[in-house]
Amino acid sequence: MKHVLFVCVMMSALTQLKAQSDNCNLRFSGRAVDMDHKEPLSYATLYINETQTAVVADENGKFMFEGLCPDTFTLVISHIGCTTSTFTIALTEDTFKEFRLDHTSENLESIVVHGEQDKNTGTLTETTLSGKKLDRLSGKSLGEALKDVNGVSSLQTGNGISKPVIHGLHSNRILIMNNGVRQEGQQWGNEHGPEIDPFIANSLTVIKGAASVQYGSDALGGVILVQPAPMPTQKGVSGDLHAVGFSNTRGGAASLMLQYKASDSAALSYRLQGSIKREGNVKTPNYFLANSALAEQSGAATIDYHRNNLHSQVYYSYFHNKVGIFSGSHIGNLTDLQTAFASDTPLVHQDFTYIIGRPYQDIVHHLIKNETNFHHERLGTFTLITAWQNDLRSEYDAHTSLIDSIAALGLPSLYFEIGTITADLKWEQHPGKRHNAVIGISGMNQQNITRYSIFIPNFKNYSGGIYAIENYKFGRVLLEGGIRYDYKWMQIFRYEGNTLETPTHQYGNLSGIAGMQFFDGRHTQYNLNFSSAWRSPSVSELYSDGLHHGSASLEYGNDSLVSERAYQIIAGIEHQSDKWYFDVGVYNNFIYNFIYLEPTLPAELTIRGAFPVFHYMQTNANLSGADVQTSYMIIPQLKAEIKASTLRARDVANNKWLVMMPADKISFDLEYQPADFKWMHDNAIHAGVEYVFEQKRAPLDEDYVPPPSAYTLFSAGIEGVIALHANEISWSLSADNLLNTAYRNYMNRFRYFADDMGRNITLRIKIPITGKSNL
Amino acid sequence: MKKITYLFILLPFLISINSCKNEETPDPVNEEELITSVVLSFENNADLSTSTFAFRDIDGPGGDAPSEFDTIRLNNGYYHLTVSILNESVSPALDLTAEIDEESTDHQLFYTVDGADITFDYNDTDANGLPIGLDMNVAVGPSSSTGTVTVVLKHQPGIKDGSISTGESDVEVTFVTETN
Repeated sequence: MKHVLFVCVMMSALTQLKAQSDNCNLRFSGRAVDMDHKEPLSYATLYINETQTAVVADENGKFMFEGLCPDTFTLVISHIGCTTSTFTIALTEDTFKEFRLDHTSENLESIVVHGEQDKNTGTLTETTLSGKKLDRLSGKSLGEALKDVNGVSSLQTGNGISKPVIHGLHSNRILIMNNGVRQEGQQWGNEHGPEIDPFIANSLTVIKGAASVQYGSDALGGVILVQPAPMPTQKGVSGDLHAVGFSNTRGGAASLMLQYKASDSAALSYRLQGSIKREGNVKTPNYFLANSALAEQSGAATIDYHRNNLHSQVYYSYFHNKVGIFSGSHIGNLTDLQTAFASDTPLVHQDFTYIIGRPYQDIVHHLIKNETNFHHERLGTFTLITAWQNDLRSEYDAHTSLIDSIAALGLPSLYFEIGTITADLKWEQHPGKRHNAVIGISGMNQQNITRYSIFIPNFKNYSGGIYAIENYKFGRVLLEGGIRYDYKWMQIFRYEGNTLETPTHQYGNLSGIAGMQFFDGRHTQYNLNFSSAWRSPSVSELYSDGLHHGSASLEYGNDSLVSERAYQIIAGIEHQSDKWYFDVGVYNNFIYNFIYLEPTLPAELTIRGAFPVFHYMQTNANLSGADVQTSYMIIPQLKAEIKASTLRARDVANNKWLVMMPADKISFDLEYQPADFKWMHDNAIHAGVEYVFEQKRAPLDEDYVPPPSAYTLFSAGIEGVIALHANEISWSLSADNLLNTAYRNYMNRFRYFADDMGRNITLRIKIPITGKSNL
Repeated sequence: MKKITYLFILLPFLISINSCKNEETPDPVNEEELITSVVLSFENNADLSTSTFAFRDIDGPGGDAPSEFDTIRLNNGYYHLTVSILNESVSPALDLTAEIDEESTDHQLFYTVDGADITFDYNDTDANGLPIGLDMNVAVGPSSSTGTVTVVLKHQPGIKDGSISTGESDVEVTFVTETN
């Protein structure tokens, strides 16, 4: 970790300014570390009694206070598992200081994951997975990894496709920011997973709440930030190697990252990262899932220039995956679907194989971006992000063409290509003692092409937004307010018969945020936030026309749909003391004109029999729920943790439940940390149990089969770090679904046809690369 | 060194300009794969007269309702049935029957009778000795009856086993059937 510095450290490096004449402009920064191992105390809370200001350290224990007057201060540092300590600081100039705390229990920082202050948003709840917590999830897809965050679940299409769901919302209702750029693919589809490899990230952050003001329209449910590590600050070659093996799919993943800087003071630094993943057929407790293998390759390259107050970076990432679609889920008509439901086991059998047959998806995503920061002494920091991304999705049907000459071409049955250009300019005021303002504008141009069959039409769109956010601190209270306006113009190109039609749509709306945060100075922080966001209807909702093979239904768009608008209130309390940690969040999200698929009678007759018909309609929806997470140190080496989340999602206009909403769940985990043993340290043993309730709050008329029963899953694992010469090799061995329980998950679209994955034992190894040579 | 920065900033635009071909205007899509029509031709073994009954949904699933959906009406006797599977959404129409016959080890037609006095017997077999169903012997009984005949075309790539519950349905049409 020593070569990796966190974003705000970089920001502090950016802000290395000459001391200004104004007396009360001193900067006091430092690092909080563990007394024994000098391990960073991630997210330690630091509080200055005299000014009643508090900050939270970053992942590496680094923190910074700004706008201090020359004086003597009392600094209180608290961290879970540590004795809260008080230090006296005499400040006369900008100062950096390291503080050592007696850490009564080792490596706890890896477990403590919670909302931080002063990070990405002011007063919204956010959860970050990074460091050891993220390492424990390596090799998983983005959607699977994020399930670790309380309140986040995933909408799955088997093992290979997983979409994150925040407080019941997904797809077009959440935003994914891939290294600062809004991810644009075909996110409208339930079986279209995010085209991002989590190996590129060193932190994954989930912002729960309508954070549209800062990140753009559509963030009705929340925002996911995928952030790569900051560039190296020390000379030489460094990096890391991850290797992961899965027993269930007899698969594995590996990622290699190498970075280089010619000297500590060099302006340029470089990074290359690449990863591969290969998995065979998934094994449920009683059978293999036919054609469920997958293959993935991705990589990223970064060139970074940083001198004085100018910082510019070019980043390129590539993502490619090929995912087999479980043969048993491929159905031609309603009779096939009913035959599949009636059978306890899938009608298509296949033993283990790595071969990916038809049907399958083949997806490529390119992103190239530049981010340039310019720091001006008086005017503040300017950031310009420009990006181009191209997403190519090919879907291959179970059929090859009956006509040999067409079959020989090997073309997909459906192909989408969407290209997106985005530009974002942001101005941030210097963080002052009280005020902190951000103003930004952003623009986007997008063009979609569909080939071989028409499910959604071609379109192009232009959109733009302008926003301002102000944070105001007085004493222990932080107030936040922000407003944004977005406009979108879209033109559709489609054939009605043989006539080309080119209708246009325009949408323009405001988003807003208002929140407050109160920190009691020691242990507890209170948040209250109101936000409003909107989303224009997606092209699939406006113009879908025809047969949806995956669900044996006819889906019809509705070109008169209007924008959805969400009003959300979210309140949270987070408490951290010597032994206790708890984080409670409650929310209510009211969405006007919520777009959904309404089943419509009668069924429509086709050459494949009668198909159920669905039309896109609008209603008013209300989603309310709570996420609770609490942990307690029973003895210094033993920690118990409970996580629970609940959601009630109503169609209030029609007075019924909303379909496909995650069921309530609760989990209990115990973690024991034995003492170091010779060259093995940071050892831990953990065991957990998760209970997922039956989703009894589902509309029975909108689904073919009722939601599956409740289930209990057990997990266990051991992990540690091996000190081999100068290298610290992290390892872990964990088992999911330890008892090989046969279960079906309501949020998995294959639940109609087959059980979920059986026992899976995962071995993970991470080897840091620290080249001392100067090349 | 600032020139590097300008280049950095411009890079995504340079690439996007290059990729910004004006391709949004689509060509009308010819759905070659579509099956729009099933035509059943019953040849009376006695007088060699032919009765034809069809299901036609020229624009495919959804959109306009089927343009033709006949009731099968047959008199007592023995018939020779031949089936045509067509894509009439394109011009000229594509006859897919020969293609199905060519891939006969991956396809089978099934005839399920409910209530009508009519029986179907396979008159063709694939390379593995399993029935195909494009060529059938049909017997219509002497009694007056009304019921249904459901014609199902199954795609069973590599898994053909003679069972109607195997594979994916490409066609499933239920014809009302009257005999006397």
